[in-house]
Amino acid sequence: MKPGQILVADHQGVYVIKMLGDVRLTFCVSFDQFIDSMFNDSQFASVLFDLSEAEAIDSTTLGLMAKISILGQERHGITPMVLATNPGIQRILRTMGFADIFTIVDKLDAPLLAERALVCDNCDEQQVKARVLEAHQILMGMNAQNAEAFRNLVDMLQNS
Amino acid sequence: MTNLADRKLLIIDDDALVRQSIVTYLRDSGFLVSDTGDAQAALALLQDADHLPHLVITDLRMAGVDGLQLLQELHDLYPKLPVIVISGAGVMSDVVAALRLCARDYLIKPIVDLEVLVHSVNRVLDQCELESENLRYREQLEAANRELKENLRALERDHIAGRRVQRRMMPSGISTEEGYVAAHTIAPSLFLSGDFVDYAHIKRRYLAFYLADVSGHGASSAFVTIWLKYLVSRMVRDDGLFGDENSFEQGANTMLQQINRELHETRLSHHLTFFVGVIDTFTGQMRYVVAGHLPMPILITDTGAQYLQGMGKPVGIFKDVIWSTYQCQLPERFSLVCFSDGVLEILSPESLEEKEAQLLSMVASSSGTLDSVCNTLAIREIRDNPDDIAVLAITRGLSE
Repeated sequence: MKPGQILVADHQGVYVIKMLGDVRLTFCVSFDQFIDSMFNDSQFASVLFDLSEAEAIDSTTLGLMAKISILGQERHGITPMVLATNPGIQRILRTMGFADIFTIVDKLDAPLLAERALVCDNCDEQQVKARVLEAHQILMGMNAQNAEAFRNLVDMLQNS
Repeated sequence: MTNLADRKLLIIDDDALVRQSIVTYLRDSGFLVSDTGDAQAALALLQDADHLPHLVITDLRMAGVDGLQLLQELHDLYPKLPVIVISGAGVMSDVVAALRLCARDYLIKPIVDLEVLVHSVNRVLDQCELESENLRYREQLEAANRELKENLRALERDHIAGRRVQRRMMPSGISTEEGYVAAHTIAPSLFLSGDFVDYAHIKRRYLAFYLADVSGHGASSAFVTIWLKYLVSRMVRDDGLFGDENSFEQGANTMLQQINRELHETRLSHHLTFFVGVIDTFTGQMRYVVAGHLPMPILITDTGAQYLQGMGKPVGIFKDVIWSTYQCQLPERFSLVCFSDGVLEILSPESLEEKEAQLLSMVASSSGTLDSVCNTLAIREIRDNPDDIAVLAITRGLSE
C-alpha cells in the first residue's frame, strides 16, 4: 500500500478531490476548513471525488465525503460525483449507501449517468455534467505532482 | 534584531589619538560608543550591568597592561560579551592567543579604512544576535518538547483509562439454558478506537447482540462507544427493547433509528457501522440488521460457512433511514462470527474481494468457537495493528 495523499484542485468552480494510496485521516481535523472554503467559494459549481488511484479509504474520510455531499445538496443543490474504478472501493461505497448521495461512475469518458437531476441556478444538467467532465479532464491531464494544478491538501492544511 | 542605534560599544585603547578617531567614526556610523584608555577603568565600567556594551574593541598592547590578561578576564567575567582585538603588527602568537581567548576578530593597526572595522563590528553583532536567537529557539523548543512529552504521557494515561472504561462496559460472556453462548475478544490497536461489542439475554428469551465500529480514532470515538452503551441500555431498560415478540421483529431497526436521531442531534460528527442481531432462543429464529458494516458476519453450520446477506446504511450520516430487517432460522448447531473491519487489515491479499474470500475460508476451517476462530486468524498474537479487531461469536451446540 502507498501512503495516502489527498490532492485538490479547482477549475472554474468545479472542485476535484483526488485520493491516492491508503487514505487515512486519523488525526486530520482540518479537513473541515477546506470544506468551508470550498463551499464559500462564490464560483463553486460542483465537486468530483476521484478515487481511481485510491487503494483504501478509512472511515473518517468516508464520513467527510458524506458530509461534503450532504452540505452540497443542502447549500448548492448538487450531487457530487465519485469516480471509482477499484471493485473493493466500489463495494465499500455501496455498503455505505453512498449510491444515494453520490453519482458513482466507474469511467468518465462515457456520458455521466446521474441518479437524480442536478439542480443548478443558471445552467441545465447537461451543462453541469459537461463542465465537470471538462474540469476533470483538464485537471487529470496534469500529473499528480503538478503543484500548479493540485494542492496537496494535507500539506496545505498543515501550513495554513 | 537590536535596533542599530541601541548597539553599545566600548573602546579600550591607551593611544588617545587612535581611540578618538575610532570613537568618532563609529559614532558617525550610528553606534553608541564609550571609551577608556586603561584596562582597570574598562573593567570598572563593565560592572555597571545596566550599561553593559554589546561589544568591546580592545588594543592588545597597552602600557602597563597585558592585553591578553585583559582578554582572559573579560572572557571569564563576561563569557557572552564579544571582543574584537585591534593591535599593532603583532606576532602570530598574539593572534592565536587572542583567538583562543575567543576574540571574535583581529584587526591589524593602523586601520587604514575604518569602514573595515564597522563591517567587522556589524558582522560580530549579527553573529551574536543569531547565536542568542538560536539559543532562545532551542530553549523554546526544548520547553515545547518537554510540554509535548508531558501531554503525550497524559494522553497515554487518558487512553489507558479510556480503554479500561471501554472494556469495563463490555459484557464478559454469557450462556443461556438453551445452550447459546455469546463471547467476544478485542485485539487493541495502538490507538484508542471505536470498536464496541455488547450482548444480553433479555427476558430470558431473546439473545440480543451488536458489534459497532465508530468512525475515527482517539478519545472522541471511545466516548461515542460509551454513550452508545448508555443509550442502548436505556432503551432495553426503559423502552422494553428486544423484550417481546414485536420488538424482536422490529427492535433492531428501532434501535438504529433512535441512535441515528440522537447522533444527528448531538452533532458528534462521527458515524457508526453496525451489525445488530437478536435471536429468539425458544425458536432459533434470528432477526438482524446491517448498517454499513464490512465484513459481513459469517454463519457456520454443519453444511458449511457463508456470509450472511443484507445491506443497510451506516448510522449517523443520513437522516430518516429505515433499516431492512433480515430473517434467518438457526439450526441446532451453529456459530455466528462477527468481525470489525480491522480484521481485513491483517489478511494478506490486496483486494477486498480476496480478503473476504480468505476470511471465509479461514473461519470455515475453524471449529467456530471464539477461541478456535482467534487461533486460526492468530488474532491474539497481533501487535501494532492499525485498527482494533473485534470478534464476536454467538454459538450453540459446539464443544468449547
